[in-house]
Amino acid sequence: SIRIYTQFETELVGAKELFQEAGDDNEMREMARSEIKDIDAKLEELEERIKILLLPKDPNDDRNCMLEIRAGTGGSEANIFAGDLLDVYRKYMADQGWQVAMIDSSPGDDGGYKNVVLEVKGDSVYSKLKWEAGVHRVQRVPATETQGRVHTSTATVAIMPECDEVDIKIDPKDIEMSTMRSGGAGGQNVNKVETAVDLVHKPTGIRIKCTQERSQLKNKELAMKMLMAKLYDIENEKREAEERARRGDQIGTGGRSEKIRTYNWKDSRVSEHRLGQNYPLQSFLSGEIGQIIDGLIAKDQEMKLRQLSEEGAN
Amino acid sequence: IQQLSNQCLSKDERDAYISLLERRMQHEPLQYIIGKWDFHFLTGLKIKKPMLCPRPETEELVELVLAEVGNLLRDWKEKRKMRILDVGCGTGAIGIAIANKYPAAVQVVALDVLPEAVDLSNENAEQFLSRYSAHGDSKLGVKSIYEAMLCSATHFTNNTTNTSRDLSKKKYKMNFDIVVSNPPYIPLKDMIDLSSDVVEYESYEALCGGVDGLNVIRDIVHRLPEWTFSSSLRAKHCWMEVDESHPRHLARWLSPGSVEARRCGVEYVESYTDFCGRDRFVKLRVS
Repeated sequence: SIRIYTQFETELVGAKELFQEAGDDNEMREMARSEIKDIDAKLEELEERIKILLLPKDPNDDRNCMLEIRAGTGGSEANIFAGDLLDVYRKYMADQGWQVAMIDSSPGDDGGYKNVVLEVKGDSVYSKLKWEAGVHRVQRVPATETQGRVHTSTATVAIMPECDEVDIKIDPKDIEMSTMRSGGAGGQNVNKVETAVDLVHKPTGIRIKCTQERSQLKNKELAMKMLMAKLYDIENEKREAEERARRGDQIGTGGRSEKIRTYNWKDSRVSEHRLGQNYPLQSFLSGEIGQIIDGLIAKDQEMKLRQLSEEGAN
Repeated sequence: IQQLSNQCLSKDERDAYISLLERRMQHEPLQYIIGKWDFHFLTGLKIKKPMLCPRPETEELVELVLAEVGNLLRDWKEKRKMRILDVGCGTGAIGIAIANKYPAAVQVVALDVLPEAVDLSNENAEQFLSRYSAHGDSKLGVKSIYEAMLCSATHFTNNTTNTSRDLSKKKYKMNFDIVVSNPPYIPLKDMIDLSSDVVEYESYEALCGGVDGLNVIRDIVHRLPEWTFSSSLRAKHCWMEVDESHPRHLARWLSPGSVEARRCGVEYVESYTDFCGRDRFVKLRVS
């Protein structure tokens, strides 16, 4: 971009010279003038782009991530809502061409999920999905409601950037792992295909269950991956909270309990609280969340730019 | 799965599904019904009756051997590939899982007494390892990485005076660097406690190791010095998955420095527990 910018600068100088030299030749002057206008506009655009590129980047932006949806208050309706959110995200991810794998899930008794974890891989996954982290609130008449009353339920979305041993060190002594074969005979004596793995991280009490794979070894590795992602997430949250406190009121990627959106069925709208804007519910439900995410990214860049210029002025 | 749950099955699909369910109701192992399962990092390993369905414990055996392969490779001075012998290969799971991790560095020879096991192992090897043999030893293909042969532990020898081997057969190349095995190890008395999905479907020979469960293990121990014979002074190890009762028997029989250990040329090193805390794996050294 810098190259193109300097190129245009040279062109502008050239055009201005032409303008001078044109003297009384009106046609030449008009041509030169319009060229100057043109180049000026392009220069401005480039300036904006370069400023954005110079903004401090979130170090996790290019990473893949794990997405966890947890039903909040509202019982079965919250579970169903969690399932609805999952559908929306799945459509968006398919649109983006990302690779999605379900790592763990606890289905709700009446549908939806109490809890579900996905692993998402692709381009710029974290930079886009991080805006979904927080508490989502829904106001509608639940499918299970017999008297047509509107209920409010919630679901919490957590986005954990993928990490490896460089980011997080886990002491094997801190882990307690148990499997389905723990009781009775084992080895050649038994052929049960339960390869589920249950993992407890003693210092934090985090418990992870992994049932996804048919190979027990793969389940172990996945469970460790999830644990690392959660621990990394906790560290990130600490760091972000400190930064948010330092920068004052900034559009953050969610305190984990920040209410970021309300979905109202009666009015067919999605209220994004961080932008103070409403969007049509139907487009959201068909997976078109790109508009909201772009809006959040733009606002974030705007605030960062403002901060940069304020700091520059001081 | 979401899309599948919304589909309606045709009559043929429904009938096929019901017959699969009936097989499962007869306690036929799921792996036989589906025809494949995952083992270690091999997704979709073909599994056929009566070969033993790979168990999760055996994944740990693979990890133990892979750790040794990794260590040896760090100081590997030989010009040839590292040679690994898998005794009683069954579906080929162990040897192929090892070769899958180090296809350029190792060559696995696998043995089984069942022709179906040999065929299945070579078939699985083709599936998982042929992608690595495109370059390099293209003349031999997958065989430069993995080859299964029909042979028992006892008969895998170049010593023609002890066995009734066909003299026209060419000699086997020995000098293996590592020997691994998940031999039949269940003691006779425990065979009766096995559930029907194991004992009615999986091969008896793949499970029962005789009265004390050590028959095949003894055969292996007796052949170990010949299999690992080479001019190198490097210690050669044999890794085996065994019955819980075996580590202490083996520790006593092949106690380092004992008469038996010196006679066999093999010493007991140590045992390892599986993820359930059972003594499951032993490491022997050819002295």
